[in-house]
Amino acid sequence: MRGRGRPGQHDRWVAGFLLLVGLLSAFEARGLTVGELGRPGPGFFPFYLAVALSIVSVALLVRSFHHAGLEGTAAQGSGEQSGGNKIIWTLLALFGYTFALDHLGFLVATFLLMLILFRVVELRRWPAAVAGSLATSLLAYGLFKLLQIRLPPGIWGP
Amino acid sequence: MKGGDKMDLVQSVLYGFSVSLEPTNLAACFAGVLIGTLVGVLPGIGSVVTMSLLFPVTYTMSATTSLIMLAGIYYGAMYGGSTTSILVNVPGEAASVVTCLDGHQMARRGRAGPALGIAAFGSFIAGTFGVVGIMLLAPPLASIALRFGPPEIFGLLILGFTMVTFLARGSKLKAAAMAILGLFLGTVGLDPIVGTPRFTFRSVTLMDGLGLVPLIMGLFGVAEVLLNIEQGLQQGVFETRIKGLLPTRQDWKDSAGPVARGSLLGFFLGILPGMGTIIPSFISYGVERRISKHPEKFGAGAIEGVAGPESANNAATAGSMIPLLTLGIPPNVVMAVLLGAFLVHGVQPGPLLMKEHPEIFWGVITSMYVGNAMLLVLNLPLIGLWVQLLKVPYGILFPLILLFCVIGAYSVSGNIWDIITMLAFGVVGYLMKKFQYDPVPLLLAFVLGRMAEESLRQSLLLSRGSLMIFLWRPLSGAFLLSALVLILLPFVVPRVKAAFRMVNQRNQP
Repeated sequence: MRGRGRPGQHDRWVAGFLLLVGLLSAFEARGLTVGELGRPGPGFFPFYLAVALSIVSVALLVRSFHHAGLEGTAAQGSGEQSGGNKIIWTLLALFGYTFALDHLGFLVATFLLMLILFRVVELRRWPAAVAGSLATSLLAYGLFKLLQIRLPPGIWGP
Repeated sequence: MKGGDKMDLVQSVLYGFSVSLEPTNLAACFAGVLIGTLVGVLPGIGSVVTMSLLFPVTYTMSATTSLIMLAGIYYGAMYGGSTTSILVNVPGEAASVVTCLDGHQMARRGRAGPALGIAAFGSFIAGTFGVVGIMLLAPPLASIALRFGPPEIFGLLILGFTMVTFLARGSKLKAAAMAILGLFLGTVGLDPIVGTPRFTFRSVTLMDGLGLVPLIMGLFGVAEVLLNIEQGLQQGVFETRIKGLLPTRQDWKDSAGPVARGSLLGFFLGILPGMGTIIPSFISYGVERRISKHPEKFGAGAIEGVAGPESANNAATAGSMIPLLTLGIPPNVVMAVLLGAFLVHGVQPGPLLMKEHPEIFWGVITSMYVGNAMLLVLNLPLIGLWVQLLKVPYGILFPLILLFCVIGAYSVSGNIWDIITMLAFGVVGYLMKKFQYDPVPLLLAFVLGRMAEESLRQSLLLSRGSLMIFLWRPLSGAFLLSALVLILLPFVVPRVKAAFRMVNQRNQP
């Protein structure tokens, strides 16, 4: 893990985040009716879960200080810059695809998604990427229609 | 057919076969095991993701047909996974990790054929044993479960959560945090008793709660793809001529014990929550090595090291059906997907399933027997084809997996926000894997959260607020006590051992 801090630090951040989630949820659950043991309300179960989550997170936080460096955290071999970039591109493409589906329709949106994945993430040459994207989007369309799977209608046709 | 209770076992089984041998169901079973073997062979696509991907396809089928197909994918993947382990030394399925150890060594020594053969035969024998086990065990268990009230269900669920946490990979504390988070995520949506919206942030989509399918696809499908993209999946088929798939007489002699022990171990371990199929295969390997007369051969191509674990993981798939079919409690993630399939068709699995839907119960169980036979016939001649498939580069597969995930998540309810949920949980799952948080406790707790809350609140209403209701009822008391023992075990055992050592040292002159 180049320049991203030591393993113990990661554990600390995650535990801190979970603690925050626990505390905010406990606060939110109090806004619903917690009730009492004899008459538990809608907030009862979530409130005590949030309290339990906060307690476990504190334990994780304490342990991260004790175990700093002892426990191997974070998957190995993840420092590659190119790998991280690929993930960001993939996620951006997928989120973009989700919103494009409604407007461009399945065929156009899928073609563009596949083009990004083949060209940018998989580093294929342009002709191969275009041909591959065209083939996969058409084949997928045919398959989904055959299997009677619901597809987003899209404003510009299928 | 008048009610399931009047049928005795033989009649029920015959009835089951009459359902599973109907042409539609037979075709569904065949499609299931074929797709299962395919994804089992391909590393990087698991049975969980495939089952959730095919979820939308099953909407148009009847409940029985769709469950037969989904179950087929599960045990089919167990068969396929071993092929990749043996030939490529990469587990096609997580449950075949341990098969790499000796299976691949056998392949390197020119014995790929017998390794593949014994994996298939062992799986078939174990699968058959498992199916018979379900037939014998499920009916009595269901009749006990019928007497469960809310306190018993709550006690059982707490024991289940404890076991899932206890058996999770890595830190138990992290697993506990994930189980609690999963329970918490399960509370999103309308309150199950009074219907108040909770944590919905005024979103109509969240009123129905978080969807099971987007959650599973995100945590297990998208997260896995992201990790593979980052790390670059290594592939390379071991080029060998596969000849003589039939094990020799000596192979059979060496494998008979491991197959029998693996079947028993796998089946009974598979029933327990959180076990899945990976742990039984590891335990079987450990047992075989310990009792072997030639433990030095293990890791260097011992056929026992393939026969035992491969039988164990197949028997475990059958065992894990029991809690779902008789209690309505999925003991692992795959069963959680099956539970989802039941619920989509408006069927609640549990003690009443056998009476109310005998065609589903017995049809699915007997179809597993039919499917196992199909796999044996299908798998051995098709191994050449599977080897060719292994040469498909991951760069072509992963865009397709992602596309299927997106469309699968969308088609469940035709809502774009389900895709967003899936992608968000994909990122969460990716980070969880990076920071070594096991997603399994989170998912199981999420699935069972509603049941846990209902049983807790109903019990408290029954007892007018006294927590003692969980202790006074013998069964729920026993469940909770077992959970407590499990929690205390890691603290107590080392101290007892240390105390014994001290006493021994003192007694020695």
